[in-house]
Amino acid sequence: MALVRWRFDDPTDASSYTFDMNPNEGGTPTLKKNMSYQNTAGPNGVVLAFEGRDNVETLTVSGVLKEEVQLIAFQTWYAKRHQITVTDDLLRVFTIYITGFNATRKRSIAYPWKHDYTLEYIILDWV
Amino acid sequence: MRDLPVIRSLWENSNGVFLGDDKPHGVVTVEKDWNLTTTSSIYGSDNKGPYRWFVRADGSQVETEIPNVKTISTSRSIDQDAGSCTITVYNQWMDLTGTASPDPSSLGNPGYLGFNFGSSPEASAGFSQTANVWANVLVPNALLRTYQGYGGYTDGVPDSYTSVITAGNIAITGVWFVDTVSTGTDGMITLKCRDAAKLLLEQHLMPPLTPDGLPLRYCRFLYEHILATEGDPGSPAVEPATVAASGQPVGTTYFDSTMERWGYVDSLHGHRFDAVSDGNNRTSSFSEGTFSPTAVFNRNFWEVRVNAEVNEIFINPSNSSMGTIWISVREGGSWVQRDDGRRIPWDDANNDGFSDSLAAGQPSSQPVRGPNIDIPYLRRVHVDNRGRWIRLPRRPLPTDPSVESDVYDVQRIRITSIGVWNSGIGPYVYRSTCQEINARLVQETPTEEGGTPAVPPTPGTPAQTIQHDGNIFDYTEIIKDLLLWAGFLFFESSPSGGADVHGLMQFTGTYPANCIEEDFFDKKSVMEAINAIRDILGFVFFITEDGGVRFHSPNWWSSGNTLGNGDRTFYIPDIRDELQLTTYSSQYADDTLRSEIIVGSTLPSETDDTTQFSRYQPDNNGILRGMVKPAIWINEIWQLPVEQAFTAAIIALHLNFQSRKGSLTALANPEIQINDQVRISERVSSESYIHYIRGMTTSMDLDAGTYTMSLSTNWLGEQDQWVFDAQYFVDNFSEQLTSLVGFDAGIDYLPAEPSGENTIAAVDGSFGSGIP
Repeated sequence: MALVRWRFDDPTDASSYTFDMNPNEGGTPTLKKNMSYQNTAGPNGVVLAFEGRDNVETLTVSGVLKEEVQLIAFQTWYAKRHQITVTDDLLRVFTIYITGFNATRKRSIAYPWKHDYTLEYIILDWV
Repeated sequence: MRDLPVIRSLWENSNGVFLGDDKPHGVVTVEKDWNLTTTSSIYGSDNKGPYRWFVRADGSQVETEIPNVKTISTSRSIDQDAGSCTITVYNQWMDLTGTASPDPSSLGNPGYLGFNFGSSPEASAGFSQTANVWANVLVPNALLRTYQGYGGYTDGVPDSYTSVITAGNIAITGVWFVDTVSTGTDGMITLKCRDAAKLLLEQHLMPPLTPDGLPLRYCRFLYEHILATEGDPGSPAVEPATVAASGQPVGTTYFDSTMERWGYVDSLHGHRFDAVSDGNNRTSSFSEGTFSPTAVFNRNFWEVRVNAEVNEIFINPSNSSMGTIWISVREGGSWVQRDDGRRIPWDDANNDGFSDSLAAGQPSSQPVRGPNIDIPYLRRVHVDNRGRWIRLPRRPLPTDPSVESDVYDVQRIRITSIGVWNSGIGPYVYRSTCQEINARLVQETPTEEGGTPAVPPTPGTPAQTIQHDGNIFDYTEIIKDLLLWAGFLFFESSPSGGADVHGLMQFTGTYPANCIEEDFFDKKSVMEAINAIRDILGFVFFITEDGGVRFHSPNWWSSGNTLGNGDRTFYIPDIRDELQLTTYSSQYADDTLRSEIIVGSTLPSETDDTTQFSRYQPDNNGILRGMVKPAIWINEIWQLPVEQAFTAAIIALHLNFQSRKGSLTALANPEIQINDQVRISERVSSESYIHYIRGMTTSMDLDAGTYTMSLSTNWLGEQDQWVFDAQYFVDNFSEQLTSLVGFDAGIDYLPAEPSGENTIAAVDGSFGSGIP
């Protein structure tokens, strides 16, 4: 099976960015309902269980950047103030908004721009 | 109490599970184009407009759902004038994927729902904002509606709110008028609102809110105190060298009138055409009403039989504004002609039922109540509301033309009037009136020297008092007027009857003993005036969830609740500690309790034996342990012992309510309203009694999905252990007070089990037959 690389797409200007290396961790969103509970007063009373609006689905992926251009590309996509789409190696497409990008420099003689990174985003929609 | 079966079922049977498609649901809408709309002065069969409205009877208002609502909090109480609501909204609008935000530095469109978003060139240029459909929408006095309940989702996604309303999952929980709009960098809009009571608090009773020219004076009865004058009726006129030697009124009997020709042939509607000859100075005949003091058909006559020789005719038109009155006398089978041959200018020569010779410029197509109206007349006079005797003109005697006399062998007398006055009665207020027509023969003889002439009454002293119906029969009619002017008209584009109030009102069964004068209302807010009347009656007044009013006896006389259509119901919601109740506390205190309530007309004094007071000893279950702790209230309004005793008992009742109170939080139920009764079941406080809801707050957080309510209550007890002895009121006051303090209305609540016959009438068209 051929390697499928992750890709960012920005429909507003038709730009895209294909990852040089796919993330090595994460990629499937966490789903969580918004629950509230109140106890009724009786000793055998029921628990009032309320469900609110679902929490926003968040997702974190992490990986390695080796080149300066890769770092700049992530910073550029992070700076976009609107939703974009991401297509992962399983060809799942999410509409996302990037909420965090954390790059930590790693020592490497061969790749002076090597960083470990963590990318955080929320999922606004599944396409 | 509201009847919301879907919500009731979920509230009672969900066992606390409000998840998935049954989770709490809240919607807020705004009616963008609303205005407090004014009618003309005539609306349907009522003519005391202009009235104002914000609610259409057909529910055809256009509502727009406000997106991004986060929280809805409401507060209502019997003890506060207006309910309040706070709504928070996320002030953001997300662009669709693929649509670039106008401001590349922002996610979405923060501030999009603000009333001035992008309204200035600077904002447009600097923040890339453009005014949108929410410009000037969420502003002060925006009209919002909240709908709340449970369920109405499909796979967790809310259905359209209109379909959810139709399905009964949510119901209207408030009609709100925005007071304050707050926006800020926190990305929220906070809307602080009041319910429709705002219309009553912000508007004051002066023109143009009240109809221009309509005096705010309400009377059950009008009294005319007739002062004696020179030549007063019934008093022999004393003229130089003459004295009345006779002059007893001969009496008359009714013969004909315009009222009868119009078809009002009985005493209904107050017309009482025969009152003009009943010899009773407390009754008057009213003509049918018209809408204008200048209407050409403001023409009426009354005709009475005499069949006696007379030379003076007494006319009392009952009001000083009647203008010209023509007096016609029928003698020898025909109406007596004047020398100049003048006739009443009101002709129907071709006998077609319409006038042919009205004054120039008036339309000729007005009905004139039948033929033969333009009869000759002898005198044309003006008479004020005291009435007076009018001497007939001298003329040659028919039997001997050489002799002049003012004595006529009168068969009938007709008086004809074009004057009307604003009676304030019925939808058409301008009416002619006549209290009495009489006749007499006064023969004058020279005063004998040394004789004793008759002594006339002293001018200026009261001679007689006449009672007329006023412009109201019940306190509630005053409240109705005030509400209609302030904006609570239940508007119909083609009203079939009179003006209806949006809400539910109860007749009080009583009326003010004295006229309520203009200074009672002058420049007060509408709410102040309503509250003043409410307090006289011991009623409650509040705004309901649909923006309507409630004005009726408080719901504490017997167990049960009143539905929105006025029906009584056995159903009392049971707030149980194992299903809905989350916290409860009760308070029992003696600070409000009194050993005795004394109501007096003035402060007791040994030297003043006119002081009237009554005592009432409340049943406090011995809590005061013999302590003497009386309360005294001096109020000159209550003069009768029965009034004072009733007032004392009511005061004791309220103090008793204050001594035992409850406070709880529970799962919210939109069926429950203030003034309802609920049963509280909580084992730690051993509480299992019925309570009266005095105040209520609700809190809904749509993010968290919580929907709870807090109630403040007064303890009422059980059906067989009620907080007060209702039978005491029945036994001691029901008969005596029916017409005094409005207790009649409350007494109907007293049967322990609702009979199914409610005493609260929906206002729609229920204000009696009125006077056409």
